[in-house]
Amino acid sequence: MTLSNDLRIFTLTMKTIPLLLLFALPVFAIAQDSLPISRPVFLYGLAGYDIPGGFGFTIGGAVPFHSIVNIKTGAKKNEVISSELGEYRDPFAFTSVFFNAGFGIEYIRSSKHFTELSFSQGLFRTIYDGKVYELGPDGSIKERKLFGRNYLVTQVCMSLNYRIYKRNPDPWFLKFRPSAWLQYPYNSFFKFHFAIQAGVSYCLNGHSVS
Amino acid sequence: MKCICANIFVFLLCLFFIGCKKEFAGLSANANDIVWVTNNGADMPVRIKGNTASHIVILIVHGGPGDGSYSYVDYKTARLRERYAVAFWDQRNAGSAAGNNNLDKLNLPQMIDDLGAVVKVLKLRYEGADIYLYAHSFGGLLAAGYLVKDSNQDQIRGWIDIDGAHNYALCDTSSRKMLIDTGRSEINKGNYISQWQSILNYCNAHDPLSSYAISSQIENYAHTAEEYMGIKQNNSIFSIAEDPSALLTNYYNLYNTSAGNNFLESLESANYSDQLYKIKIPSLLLWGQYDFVVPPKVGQDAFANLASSYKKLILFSHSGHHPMETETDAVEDEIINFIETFQ
Repeated sequence: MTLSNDLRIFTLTMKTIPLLLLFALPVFAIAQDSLPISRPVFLYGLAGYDIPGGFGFTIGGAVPFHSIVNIKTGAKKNEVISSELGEYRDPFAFTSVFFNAGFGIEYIRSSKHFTELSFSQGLFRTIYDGKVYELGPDGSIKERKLFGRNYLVTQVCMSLNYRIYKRNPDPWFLKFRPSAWLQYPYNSFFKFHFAIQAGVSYCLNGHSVS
Repeated sequence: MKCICANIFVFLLCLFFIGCKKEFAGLSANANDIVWVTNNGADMPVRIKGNTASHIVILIVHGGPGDGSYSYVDYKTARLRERYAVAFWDQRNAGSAAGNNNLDKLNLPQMIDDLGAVVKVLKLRYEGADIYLYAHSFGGLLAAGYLVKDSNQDQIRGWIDIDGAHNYALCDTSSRKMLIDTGRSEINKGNYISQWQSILNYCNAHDPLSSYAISSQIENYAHTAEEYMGIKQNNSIFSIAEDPSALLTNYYNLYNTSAGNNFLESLESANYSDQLYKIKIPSLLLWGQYDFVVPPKVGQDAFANLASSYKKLILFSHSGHHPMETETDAVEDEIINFIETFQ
């Protein structure tokens, strides 16, 4: 068992499972509709700013699989699985696409507001601007098309969600989500990121959040 | 079904943005090109700005090691970019240079090879252009190592060496001597007495050639000594143009990992003084008179050993280790006059 072998297996796993989750999301949503329990499924689209200077967007979905209600206080939380796909333009000369999958906990504050803490793992692919040249073993220069690097990412987010209209039930929420994430291995270490995202989420099965 | 189609549509939209890449638009008086050079695990950006139509490219070989090149994209090269093209190259594990697991490949011979690759790319891309190396501090060591090797200097029209450290041991010993001599003089004048006394006590008690830790401490004193001589320094941790996250990672690698420290220690024995006779291309040596980090004695050593057909050493009397910051106009004038001499 070597570190490189572990990373290879992890990479293969992360390539497979998140892809299955992405295609399974609509299935989950449909299945949720048939369940008697009110567990909202959310799809969201967010515009993001990755400090300093990267702009992009993310689309994703969160599917709850377990609800917990505190009988004494009435507080409710949902445990969710999520996946998302996104793209960033970086001013330091590359574009990146990424795919994450993970889990989170939604804390239902009221019918109009809930917060969510989430953790995810994923893949991050950079594509460099302009032409990329490589020095060959014979000293010649050749061009590499669509060249970039693959990285792993680990992300921790906290999102604040507010129903847009006061009438109930209404499926639209405003979503504000700061996050911290690591890109690795970057020059044999980690590259830290802090991002702020904002956008809308849609409650797919139309149920009230509470 | 609608949900799946919507997901696919948005995914395709993502791919559209991936296509926003800058392509080479030919020569221009106001170019803003970007290329990447990937070599043995390091992906190094080279941003070319300025007048590419001049057929003259000044390649920045930045110092550090570990500093980026993008901090030069300001007033320090403004006039140069009006007249010529300036190529800002981030060396491996510096600036915005990227890669996966590559720290084990961080060594001087590899970096010299990287410089060779960048020069080849610039030659390919700007066919017929004259390339000048603008090398500062550690970049001077890198440039010297490149120019003395094989027939590399045939690719270069001229060498602009700004406080270049082509001989690290000479830097250490002359730095210590300059700190001691200047310290005594300044104490006699009553300037920053306690600060200079601390420096004197340390330098008198330690030999920088005995360990990397002592050499590093003397270098720290050398940087602060400039302030005591009234040289205004740019003390910002990061240039606003740099990617601070990438810089943090690269600095961490250099100063907090064994591989990074091994690389820095290996530089202590780097010395090209006895090979500079191989360099015959025109050379311009620009030095700050109050550079305690790479003292003027190192510049004099380079001047004495170079076999260049044309060589010139200029001392800037109001500058320390960064004359391009403190006497920008004078430095740019010298560079322009140097380049124009050979056009």
